[in-house]
Amino acid sequence: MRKADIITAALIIVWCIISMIEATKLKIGWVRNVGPGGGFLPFWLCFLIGIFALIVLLQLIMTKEPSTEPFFKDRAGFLAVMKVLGTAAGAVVLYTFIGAYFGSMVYIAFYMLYVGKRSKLQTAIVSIMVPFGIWLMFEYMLKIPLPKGIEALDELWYRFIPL
Amino acid sequence: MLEIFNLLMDGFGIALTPYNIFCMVIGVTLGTVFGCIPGLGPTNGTAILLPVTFVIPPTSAIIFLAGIYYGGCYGGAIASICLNIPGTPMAAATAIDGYPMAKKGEGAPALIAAAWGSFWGGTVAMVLFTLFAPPLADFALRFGPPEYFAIMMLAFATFAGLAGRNIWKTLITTIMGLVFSTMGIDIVTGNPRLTYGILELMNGISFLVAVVGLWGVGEIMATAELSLEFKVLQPDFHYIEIWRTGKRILKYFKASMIGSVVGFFVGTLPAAGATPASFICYGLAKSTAPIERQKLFGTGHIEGVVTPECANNAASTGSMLPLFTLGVPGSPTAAVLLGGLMIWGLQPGPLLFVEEQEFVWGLIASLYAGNLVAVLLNLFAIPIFVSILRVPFTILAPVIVVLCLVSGYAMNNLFFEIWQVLIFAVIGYTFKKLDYPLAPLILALVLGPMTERALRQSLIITRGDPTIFFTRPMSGTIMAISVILFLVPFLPMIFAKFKKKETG
Repeated sequence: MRKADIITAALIIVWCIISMIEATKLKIGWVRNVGPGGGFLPFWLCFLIGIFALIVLLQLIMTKEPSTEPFFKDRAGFLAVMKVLGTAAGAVVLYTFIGAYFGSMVYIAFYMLYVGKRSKLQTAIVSIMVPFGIWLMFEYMLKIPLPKGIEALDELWYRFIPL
Repeated sequence: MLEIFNLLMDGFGIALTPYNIFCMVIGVTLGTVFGCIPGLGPTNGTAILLPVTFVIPPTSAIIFLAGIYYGGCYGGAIASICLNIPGTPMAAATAIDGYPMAKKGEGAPALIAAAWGSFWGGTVAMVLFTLFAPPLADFALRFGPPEYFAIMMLAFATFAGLAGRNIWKTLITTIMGLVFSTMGIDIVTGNPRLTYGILELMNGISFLVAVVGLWGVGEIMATAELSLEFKVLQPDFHYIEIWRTGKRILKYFKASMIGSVVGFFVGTLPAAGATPASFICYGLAKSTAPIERQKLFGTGHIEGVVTPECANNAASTGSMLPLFTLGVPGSPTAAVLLGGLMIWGLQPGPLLFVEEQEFVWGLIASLYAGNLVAVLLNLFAIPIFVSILRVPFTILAPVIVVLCLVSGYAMNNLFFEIWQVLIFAVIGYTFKKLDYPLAPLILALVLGPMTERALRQSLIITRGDPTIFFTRPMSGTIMAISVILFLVPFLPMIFAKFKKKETG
């Protein structure tokens, strides 16, 4: 836990420094008769976070009894978290190519079959019904078009299913 | 007083149309289901379903979302009692006595007591809300930009003043939320700001994406790690129990009153909310009970189920008081409601009570009615909700993730925001593990633009003179209170130094 805590604090400091540099593209000072410039708040707020993160970092390094508890409960816990995150990232990649509906279908089917070890029947029902339900709600009722993937697929979609 | 009563009656006329009742029932049902499922709760439930409300009128939309909020408060207890895993954090205190009751075979009375407690807490809090909201809004009508800025500072000060174990981490997440809110376009000059050269960031960071990532996918990651086999204790449910348990908990009127009133006021503080409220009231009920009863707490005592449930529902109602009167949300879920209000074209704050009377009183009336709907649903449909707990996590997880990704996109139709959901999920998971509080981040993200506008407007009025915040009587007073609150967590450190000097 201590290592992860230190890395997080350090990353926050790095992010603050980058953001402070980014904020200087606008006026970070006090503009006469107007008050703070556009970059004033982001710059000084990041400065504050940086200071606080540094305090957290120092506390962690100087503490006499560092926490020995691991960040992930065990290897199985780590794998479980990574499976959720990895497959979710995979789903987003799928969305870019085959769109949100087929992407979700493949993702849910994959997760249920290989991560969850569910039966084929259950998998088939959920992976077809959920994307259909989403289509019904977003596209049909709310008229919010969800991504359809690459352009060719997009055209094909609207040829068969007009909005 | 009579005027309030008349307005409330008008509100019932507006709220109780068939369409609105339909929205309410759907909202409460969905909310209870969300509340039951560990990893989903009212905060991400309202966020995921916010896009759905864009096509219905604002009054119906807020009734729907408030229904989810209420339903979520009720539903959380079901998982606490039957699984010993709180369905929502605010139901954690309910598990202390709820789960032992279920183990003793008293699952049904526990669930019924939780529903009655929620109903009582919600109703008492609504009466308090109705009495306090109009005068508070009236008072807030006199506020100008400096006072607004001071109110925002007070909200941020409560985070610091009521911070958890590590004040620095609380400050980091609060300010981080503010920095996220400044990304996008500078409101005064119109220049891109903190976009790191990424074109899509010109749109800024949407609070909805942050909520869905932090509480939705992030929560699923955390739940997956526990790799729990959900062992549901199936309660033996008979409808006669509803009546019997109702009579049984009447004895604990004092504790439920403590839960409701204290819960309400704790809920109004932006930093506190329903989770601490339920623990505080549990503790209060225990310490004010007669000695022989104190020993029963923790062993499956029905009073220990009723009190935290009263408190968390009352706190949820309380969190809406500053939302509707000042435009400052009292909880992350209230922050989502605030975002909704702005999307529907309503400006939250005291003017709502003047300009949108129909909306406000319709909403207040619908909260009374929603509470009634929720208690009926939760008393008579207990077996159905318990069976939802049996749905395995490996089916729920991918479905919830898909819902989170899709609703992240639906807000602004930006593909980039789907990736943001995942980034926030990682941040949320890590921060949760390392004790960085998440609620201040989301509240600051929502309040950020308002805070900056108030700050810069005030300074433009005075041509850049910051003393205005301290010289105007009202903003000066609020600022002074904020400064004191900010200093509270540092007092022990200062005292410790003095003590060392004395002894050294």
